Amino acid sequence: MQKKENIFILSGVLFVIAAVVALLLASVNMLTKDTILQNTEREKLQARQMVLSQAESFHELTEVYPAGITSVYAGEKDNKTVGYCVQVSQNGFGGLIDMMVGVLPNGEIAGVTIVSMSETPGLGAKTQEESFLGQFIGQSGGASLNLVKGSKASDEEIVAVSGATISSAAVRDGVYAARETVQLIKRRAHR
Amino acid sequence: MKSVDVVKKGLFADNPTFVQLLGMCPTLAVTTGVANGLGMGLSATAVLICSNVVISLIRRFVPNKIRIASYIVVIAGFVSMIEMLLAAYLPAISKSLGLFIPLIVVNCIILARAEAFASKNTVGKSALDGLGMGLGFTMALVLISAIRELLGNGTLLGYAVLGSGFQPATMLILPPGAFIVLGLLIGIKQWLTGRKEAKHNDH
Amino acid sequence: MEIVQSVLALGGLGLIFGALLGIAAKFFSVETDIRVEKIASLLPGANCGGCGFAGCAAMAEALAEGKAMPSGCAVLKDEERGAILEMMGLEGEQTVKRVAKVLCGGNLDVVNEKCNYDGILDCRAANRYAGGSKACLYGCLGYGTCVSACRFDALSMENGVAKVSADKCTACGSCVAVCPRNIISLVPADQRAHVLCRSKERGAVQKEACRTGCIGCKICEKVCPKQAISVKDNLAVINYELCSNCGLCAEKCPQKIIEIKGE
Repeated sequence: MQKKENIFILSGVLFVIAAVVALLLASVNMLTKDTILQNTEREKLQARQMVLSQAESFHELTEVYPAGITSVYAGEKDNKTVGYCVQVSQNGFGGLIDMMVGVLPNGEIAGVTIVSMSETPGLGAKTQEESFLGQFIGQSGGASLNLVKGSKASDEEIVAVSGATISSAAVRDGVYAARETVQLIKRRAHR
Repeated sequence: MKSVDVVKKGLFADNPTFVQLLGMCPTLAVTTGVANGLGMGLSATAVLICSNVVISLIRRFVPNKIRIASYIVVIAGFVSMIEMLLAAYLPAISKSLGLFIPLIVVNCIILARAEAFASKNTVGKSALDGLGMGLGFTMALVLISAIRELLGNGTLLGYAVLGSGFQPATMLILPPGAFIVLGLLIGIKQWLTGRKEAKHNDH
Repeated sequence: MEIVQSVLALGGLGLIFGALLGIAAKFFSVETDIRVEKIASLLPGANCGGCGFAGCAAMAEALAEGKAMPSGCAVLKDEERGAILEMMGLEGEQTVKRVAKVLCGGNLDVVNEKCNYDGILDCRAANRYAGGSKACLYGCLGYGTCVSACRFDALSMENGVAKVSADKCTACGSCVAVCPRNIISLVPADQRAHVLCRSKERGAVQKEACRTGCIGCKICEKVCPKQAISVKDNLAVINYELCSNCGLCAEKCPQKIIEIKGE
């Protein structure tokens, strides 16, 4: 096409195309915003219920927490606090690992679940499995949670997923952070 | 060419992965499992068809100098829309595909078809071309993923298929495995094409 | 409100970048021969390389510069070929077929060898190392690089010299480009007289290298009725546009280096 390609036509056409696309995107966003929000809330609620099955309801604790702690909810039953759900973010091998850890008031781990991760399938991704995460459940507030390869010498140790030490360490560090957060909560309550 | 041929071309003769060698980056990265490969392929197909149609519609109005910028805006627009729609109505798929959905924007198959076909052909043919190329891409992804997941992890679609006695070749799940499987499949395709041509020439 | 913001934001970006692209186009514009783009749009665009060039874009440039002929592209249809010839300004030549011709008669019977060459059997490589084994530094090296370059099977080695078979040649120009001694030319297909030598050596030295090469005696220049052949730098060269293929020069040449093909 031999049209005069002057600056006004160029910027004009690109403006129109960009504007139309923006319009469409904004519309779809308006359409889906609420549904997406509902989905993420539902997901988080399910995660909380999974890691702290003792609780019947949750409410958010809105104090300031250290970096890496995304949210803290107190789980309640019969108007008593039965535990805490800490959502932690740790640097894994392939990016951030987002996990939900349920901690009882005495520091014992009630449950761990991975909300999202982008670790390598077959390797780091195996840290989502029951065979790995299950090792954390029931660990006391003072357990060392040392990472070992192969087999463990004591119950307090955690056997890493073979070939995925970094991912395993990241999950373990997330559990540490959750435990420390609950300790922080208790210290603040006693102030 | 006939409409059927436009679609068939993308599946075999001009397969974007095994013949044109386009979109290598997602091919190597996503094919660690059949579920991922299938999801990525179908999403890319959806974007391909939509962007081909729109670009074919606006082809006469876009000045040459802003051609590339316009196509990218259109493609990115469609990918963003698909990302939002998946997150809202198919959250499970959205989660498992995760990061790969935004990566569809830079999948060069989409821009290549826009430049080579949609900008020069009618809307109908462009849509069919998008369908053919997309399905060809999906087929390739599923094939590569199946091999890598089965031999590298002992599973297919997440289900253990080869039993616990199977020692998986973990390398296949890692990047070198991707290159090796892809290279072997391209070689097989070329060999098959060569045989077909030889048979033709004998007539 | 959010919608307005999005439209303004993305639209604004589009506006800015469109303007930037417009400015860049002015500053970075290159003087291109507009024919190149037009010719390129007539080519198939498959970048198969069958013409011998690195792709349709390279072929379009070569065509615009006259360094290649449309017949080099086996995929072109006749209308497209005609249109390209028109753009090159060669409409009339559509009926004039060209072929490649190796202008060297130094086969192994007549040329002397100056050394034993034991290296890569490629003319370009051999040319860099003392000019191969033949004593003549202007003639065909004989290692067949042009034969490999030809995609139409039109070249072959005969007794140490490359030879073109005219019926297979499409004048694509690949052999012309690849010969390190530049002794292959594209000539009119109906031309029957050729000086099979490109050596600029004076007579005495020439005869030492090759028994039959052109010595620059100028006998052909004197007998030509059309003044189509002239000697410069000890070498006779035929002007194909003036030559009438009468064959007198071939008859009188004492070295018998001018070929005159039969009917």
